[in-house]
Amino acid sequence: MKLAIVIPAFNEAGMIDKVIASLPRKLPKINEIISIVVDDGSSDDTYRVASRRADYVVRNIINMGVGLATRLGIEAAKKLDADIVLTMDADGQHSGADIKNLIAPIVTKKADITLGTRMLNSKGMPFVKVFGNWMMNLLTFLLFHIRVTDSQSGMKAFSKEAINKIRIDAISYEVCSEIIGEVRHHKLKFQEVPIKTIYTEYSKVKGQDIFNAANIFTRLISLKIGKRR
Amino acid sequence: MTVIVRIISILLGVIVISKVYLDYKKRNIGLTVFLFWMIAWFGIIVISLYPIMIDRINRAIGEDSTGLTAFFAISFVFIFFVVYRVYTKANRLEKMISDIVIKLGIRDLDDKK
Repeated sequence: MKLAIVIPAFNEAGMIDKVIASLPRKLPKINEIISIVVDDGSSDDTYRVASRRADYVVRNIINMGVGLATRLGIEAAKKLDADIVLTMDADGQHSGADIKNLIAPIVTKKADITLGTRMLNSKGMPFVKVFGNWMMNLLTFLLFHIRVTDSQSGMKAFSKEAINKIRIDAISYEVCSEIIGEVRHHKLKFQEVPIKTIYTEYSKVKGQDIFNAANIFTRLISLKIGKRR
Repeated sequence: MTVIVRIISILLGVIVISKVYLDYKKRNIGLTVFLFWMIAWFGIIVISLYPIMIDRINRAIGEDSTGLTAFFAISFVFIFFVVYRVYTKANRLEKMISDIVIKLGIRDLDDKK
């Protein structure tokens, strides 16, 4: 089985090398692991730094948002014939050690999509982020009728079947909730897997802002209305 | 109150007209769009200065209802129509840009393979 690890990155020149270096080289039942960094139109050295260590670096010519970068990463993984695709953040808040647990239910075909949840052990997470997450979980439930504990987690894994079925229209952070909506729409098998969150001063600054919630809210509503099936 | 509403309408009208003129000058919009918005906003300024005009027009065409009420109802519908058009066009453009960016990114990958 071939695993593609997709890392959307925007202005992460200072962190991206460390993140790629932390990825596992061997995993049970996985023959090949490839890293795909999606440089989302960074204005810093992200592309150059990532090119030194990542297997593939694809680039959005302009900064569009994490949603589109994720979509591009998944499209690249499809093109490279990956059997499992895993997405993770480029700000160093996710641990490479969690990848094994996240892909295990997919390897054993117990799930089509797994979502890394930070909320089962939210120790260290700033209160505003816990509150913002709770609000977004509620909104995701109201729009897509799926109860999750961490709808905004960027660490997810998808089976080949799942990436061929789901359709991502989101441009920005609303992508996380949209993917959960796709799980329901295509009746995919879904599991939450607890993950560790590494909260450093850097990742706290780089994460989504609580004030972005209103933006995500309006975009999600627009997405829900505008999604053509 | 009426004076404040008039001042705000004129101020908004002047801002929009100058913006429309600049957009036309920079060739961001075509002549038809330029004329449409110029006429529409001149009309809004004139009506906010002389709202009685609506009643006169109304009487002239033999309508019984208050002209201003009908005017606001039509304006409301028109505004929603414009908002709808802008919304759909913006959505379509966003989708087109996204597709182009994805295609370019994937082409990049093909070159490297």
